[in-house]
Amino acid sequence: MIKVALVGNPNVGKTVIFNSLTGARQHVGNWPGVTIEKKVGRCTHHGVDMEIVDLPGTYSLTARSLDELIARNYIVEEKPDVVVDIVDASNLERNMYLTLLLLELEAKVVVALNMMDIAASKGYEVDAGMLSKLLGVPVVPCVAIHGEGIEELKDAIVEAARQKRRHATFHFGEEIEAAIKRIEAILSRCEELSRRYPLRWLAVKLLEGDESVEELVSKSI
Amino acid sequence: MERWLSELRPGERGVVVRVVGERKLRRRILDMGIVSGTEIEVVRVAPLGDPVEFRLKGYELSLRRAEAENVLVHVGGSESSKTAVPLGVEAAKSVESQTKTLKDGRGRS
Repeated sequence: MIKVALVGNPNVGKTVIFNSLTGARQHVGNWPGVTIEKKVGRCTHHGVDMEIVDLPGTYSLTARSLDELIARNYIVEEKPDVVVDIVDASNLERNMYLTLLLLELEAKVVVALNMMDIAASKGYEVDAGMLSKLLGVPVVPCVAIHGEGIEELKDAIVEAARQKRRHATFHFGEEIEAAIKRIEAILSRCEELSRRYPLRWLAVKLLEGDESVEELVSKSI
Repeated sequence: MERWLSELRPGERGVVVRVVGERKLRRRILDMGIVSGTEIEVVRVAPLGDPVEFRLKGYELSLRRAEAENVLVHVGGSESSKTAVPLGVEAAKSVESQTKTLKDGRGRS
């Protein structure tokens, strides 16, 4: 069984994609302790079973709001096999921010480039192949409300689940990279943290002053 | 000329120079895409002057006036275009170098 998480900014067609992937095979519950809806569905593709979780729509992955925290904790703690990042092709610049945050989390990301029809009507030509090259992850163009690209997305999910987990590739410049390395070296002495989290990600979050990561690290060290 | 984003009127635009303020709020503003080098335009103001709707990066965002007071922008005027260009070039360069890093990084994964 492959564990798949769906993430994306609000209003990118995440629910439509969730429904097209899972059909009627879904149930709705709550995240433990909070009244935020948790939707889980099943899907079988070429004999491969997938469990698909619809994470709350979010612009960012800081620990500021409950929605963001749920999305982030799920990816960090549950380590889904594949994270499908649903992106509004007609608003790429805005959406790529979350994509980079996901890459930083060292998740196995598949980008679903949704709303290609709206992008085209705005006069944008999005080169999915080039985007995939630049990001280093698969990019699948879709028009989810017409069911276009859904089969290709399933193929990409199954394929991505077989690949090795990728490493963060975003370079912050020499000075910051040196600081990241120093912090990583210190964190690596803690076995618990090394096993559970990408150390580079923890280091970056500590430099950003992320309170929930500060708390997590101070509890473990 | 540099002004605070909260001082701009509908139709006016500027390029973000700096975001100041308390850590959490600053972080939130940066998260929403208001980072240095970003072009931002005032779309309209609510009847009582608050909140204000802005357009940036191809989408619309509403901010309270008090939040917009933390964003310093560079706006028009004769000498402005000179300053605005380097900012744009800088942004392009930074995108370019990030892109390069992403490309280089692929080998490592």
